[in-house]
Amino acid sequence: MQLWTLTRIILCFLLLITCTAKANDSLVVIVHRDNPNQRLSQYQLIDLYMGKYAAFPDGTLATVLDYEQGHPLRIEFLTTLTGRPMSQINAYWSQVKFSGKASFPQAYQSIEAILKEVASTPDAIGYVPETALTEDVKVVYRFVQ
Amino acid sequence: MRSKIVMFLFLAWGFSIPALANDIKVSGFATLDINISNSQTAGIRHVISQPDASYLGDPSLANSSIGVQFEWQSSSQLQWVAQTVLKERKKYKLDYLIQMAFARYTLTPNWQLRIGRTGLDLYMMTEFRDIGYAFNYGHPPTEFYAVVPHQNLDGIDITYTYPLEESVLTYKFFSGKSSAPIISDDDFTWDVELDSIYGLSLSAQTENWLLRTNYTTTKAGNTNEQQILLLNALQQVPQTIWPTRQALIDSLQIKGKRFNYFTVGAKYDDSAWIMQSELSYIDSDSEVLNHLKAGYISLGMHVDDDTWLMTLSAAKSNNRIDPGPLLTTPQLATLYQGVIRHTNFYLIDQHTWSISWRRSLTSTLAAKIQLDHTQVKQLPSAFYLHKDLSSANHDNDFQSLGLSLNWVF
Repeated sequence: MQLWTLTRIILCFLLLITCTAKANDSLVVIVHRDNPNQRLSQYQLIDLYMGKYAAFPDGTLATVLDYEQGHPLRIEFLTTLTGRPMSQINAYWSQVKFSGKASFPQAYQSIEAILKEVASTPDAIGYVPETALTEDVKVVYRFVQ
Repeated sequence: MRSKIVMFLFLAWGFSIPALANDIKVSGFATLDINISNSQTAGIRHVISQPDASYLGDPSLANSSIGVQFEWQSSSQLQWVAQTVLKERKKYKLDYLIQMAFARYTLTPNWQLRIGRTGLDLYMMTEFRDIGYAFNYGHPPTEFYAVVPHQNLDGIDITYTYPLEESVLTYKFFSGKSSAPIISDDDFTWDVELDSIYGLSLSAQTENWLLRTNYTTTKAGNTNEQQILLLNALQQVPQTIWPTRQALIDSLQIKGKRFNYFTVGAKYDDSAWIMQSELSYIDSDSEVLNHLKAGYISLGMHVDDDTWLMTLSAAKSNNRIDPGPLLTTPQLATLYQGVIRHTNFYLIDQHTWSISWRRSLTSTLAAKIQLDHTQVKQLPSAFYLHKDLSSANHDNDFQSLGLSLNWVF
């Protein structure tokens, strides 16, 4: 019984550490490591992720990757990027999508899937927590904490 | 022929869905709306194609709708989109159920081409006015949006997008045809065909601002049967008895007449404060729809999950009222009434004050309430259906209340 209690305490502690790490884990915007674009501005990211203009600063058509609707990273990314709540973002996207002007970015379930797709697609752009970065991708935007 | 091509595209879409199930994105929207009014003679509706209206003690659900959209990205540059919308209609035709069915080809990041049935990019909210979740109003301002029943275009559009440092400029040219019904009293139904539509739309969008202007010109593709009967009857009347007869005949012969739409609009939304306004001018070769000026301005704010808007909208046309025949006989009086009913269909002079409230219940569900106070100087009007028209006590001042639940999925 004591062993079980100890195990539960350790598990709770580990969970607390993990959650704290996630909360401090800022998002970074990534592209393929051979992508010639070095930096993107906040406005350029808004254009890409709000369906206004789907290209990199050098004029190359971008394949925009996102997480599935309701994913915590998607909510964090879009609300931080635009400074608006999800309800306003969804209302805006309803105008864009249902008038046939643009489509939602391709949606993925996990950080690993985004990393894999960006690493293998020269014109892809996505975002992941900074701690998940690998050498196969390049950071083009960091959110200032 | 045109609608058959659209239907073929749509059915091809439908049959290919099972095979492409994994690659197709499905999304949709639904609005459940009830409107109540204290008007006894002017039946409230929000677009002239709506077959139902609300009167005192007789609420209407006509603004409710449900729609589904399918999207398939067949290559990095080619995408297929189809959308169907179900809402209350006088007639249910497959052609009306298909709101959009088009292929979008992205030539370069700047150039985009769409072919098929697309939304009609006429006013700021025309393309998504059925999607209640997409806008803050309970319904788009009636004075501005009710008069155009057309929502889609069978044809082609070309868009050029140019990014600046903190804004995006968009130039769009479109061309094609469109068809939509106008419904009026006594079961009057007219599928209005617009041929040779040519439009140019310019917009500039920053983080908080949207500025747009549009000029569209089109030709009427048909004349309705009642107007043809009136034309035939008018041709039997001597010019000496009805001096304006020839001008009336010219006006009622709608087919081939050119209709021009010009609009400018601006919207500001910084996530705290909102301003939205549009002005339009509709002109034509026919007295039936001539010199119609309309506009609205809305001011409001977002407060947490709530959005409040105060709106003033107005519309006024200056159609000439025909003086009628010089002689008075029962037959001429009946003919005159019939002529007036058609030439004055768009005789509009009214304004509305509105206050609307939107509450985001979740990130995909919103409840909305809008109270309208309307003052009408001219009844009957194209905007309404009417009861007891012969009554001298027309309602010229009335309120309506709309409550809706709006969902996207």
